[in-house]
Amino acid sequence: MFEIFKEHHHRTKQILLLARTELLKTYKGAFLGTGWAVVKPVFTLFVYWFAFEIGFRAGGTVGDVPRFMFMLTGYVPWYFMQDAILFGARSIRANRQFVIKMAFPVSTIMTFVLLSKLFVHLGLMVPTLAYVFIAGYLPTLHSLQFFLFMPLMFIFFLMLSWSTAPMSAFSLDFENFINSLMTGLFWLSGVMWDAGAVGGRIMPWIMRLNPINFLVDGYRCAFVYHQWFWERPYGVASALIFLGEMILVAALGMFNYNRLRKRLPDVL
Amino acid sequence: MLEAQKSPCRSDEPVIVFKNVSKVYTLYRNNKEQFLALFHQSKKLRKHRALDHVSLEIYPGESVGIVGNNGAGKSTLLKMITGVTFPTGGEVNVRGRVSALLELTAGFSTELTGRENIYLKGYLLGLNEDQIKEIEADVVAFAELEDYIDQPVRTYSSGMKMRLGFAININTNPEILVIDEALSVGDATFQRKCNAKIRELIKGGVTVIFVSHAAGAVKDICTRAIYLKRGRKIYDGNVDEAVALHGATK
Repeated sequence: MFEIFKEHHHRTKQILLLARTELLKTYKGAFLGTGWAVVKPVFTLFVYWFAFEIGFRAGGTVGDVPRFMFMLTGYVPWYFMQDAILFGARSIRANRQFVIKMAFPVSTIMTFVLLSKLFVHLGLMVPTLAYVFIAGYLPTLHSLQFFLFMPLMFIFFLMLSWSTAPMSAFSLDFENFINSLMTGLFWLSGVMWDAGAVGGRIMPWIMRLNPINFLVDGYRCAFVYHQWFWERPYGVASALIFLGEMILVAALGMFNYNRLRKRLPDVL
Repeated sequence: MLEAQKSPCRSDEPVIVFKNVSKVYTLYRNNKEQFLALFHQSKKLRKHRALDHVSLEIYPGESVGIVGNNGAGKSTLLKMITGVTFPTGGEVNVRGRVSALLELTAGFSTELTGRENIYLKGYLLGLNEDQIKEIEADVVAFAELEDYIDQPVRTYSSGMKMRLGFAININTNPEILVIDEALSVGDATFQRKCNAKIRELIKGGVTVIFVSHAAGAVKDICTRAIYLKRGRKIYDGNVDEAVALHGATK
């Protein structure tokens, strides 16, 4: 049952070294190197902002937050989530040499791959926060919530990869299935628009079921709303829903990992 | 007391125990079958039995040869000892640090330097930082890579990579050494150095599992041999006998 925890025991240094390798692999041989980790999301975000502000003429503010500020604080955590979902699912197949050529704690593959993405996220947070502060949203005590939501986000998607990575390693169909979900996931979540403002009786609850919304809202609470997450409308309920989903994802992850682990070397 | 006297060299607990071990590979005919196998394991799929109820015990300090034709199950057996693959039936127990001279360059990260790779591979083999520090100099010297050790491994020639891989594997003080006869590391001089090192380890009491097609090499190194045929253990014991059996059925 707790195979995954056993595999991580006493392996901190190994995991950190492999996370570094993963970063090097991603950005090697480019003049800008890790700079691309910043350039790429900044450019994409600019395109989205352009489409909203200039294209849809839907600039102005979201609530009382300027559109760009709103998008930025949503897109930066989303950028991690997107990488975590995609590269998390691919991680075992991409590192198959560890699985088929040596005795390897396979579940640590997901950990070091996602850690490397977390490093990128933390690097991205530096210019993001610089902009946020310069634009007048100075840090308050609420900003400390970052140290709750950032680890929560990491752990949630790590546990999700316990299911998706072995399944994707087993069958490429599953990996393609995940790839094709991504765009939908992005636009159905409140990254670019305000999920808290949807009308109706049922729709707001559907929005609250989406863990991406909970995490993105947490980031905004920390840096632009300057509110505690439980002070948000239905904040406590949303947190409890997320907690429940987290437990479910963890249980499914352990189940799927344990059931597929020993079959992996034979199919990769 | 009597028991112990009967086999004085086998007074210890076995380091490797196979209890009725079978390995059945599922052969997926297409991607659809493999996808569906994610959700339930159909009984109708084609199977290949690579190992068939193999039981064996290997004791500390033994040098055991595994002989058999292609497809006899030698690789599968080795992969189970090294912990890469898992039995579908029965039980495998391995005590002690296993070092496999099979995939010498497996686990290297080409973006890291040679020195960093010593650490990486050391961690992978279950050593801690202090233990790796201790062997670091020996590894560098053995691999003859003094000038290049702080360069990224991607700049190494294949011979250099092999040398580094061999040097790490052999210097981690393994308790069980798994060797494939097809192993070749660089030029003749280095190969001789490797052979000498392997012999030194054997003298030092390491347990050796040696896989080979060649009768000579097995007779040379091993004190016991196991003959496998189509996944079954046919013979286990005297080296000459096993080699003769293998030769007779070729």
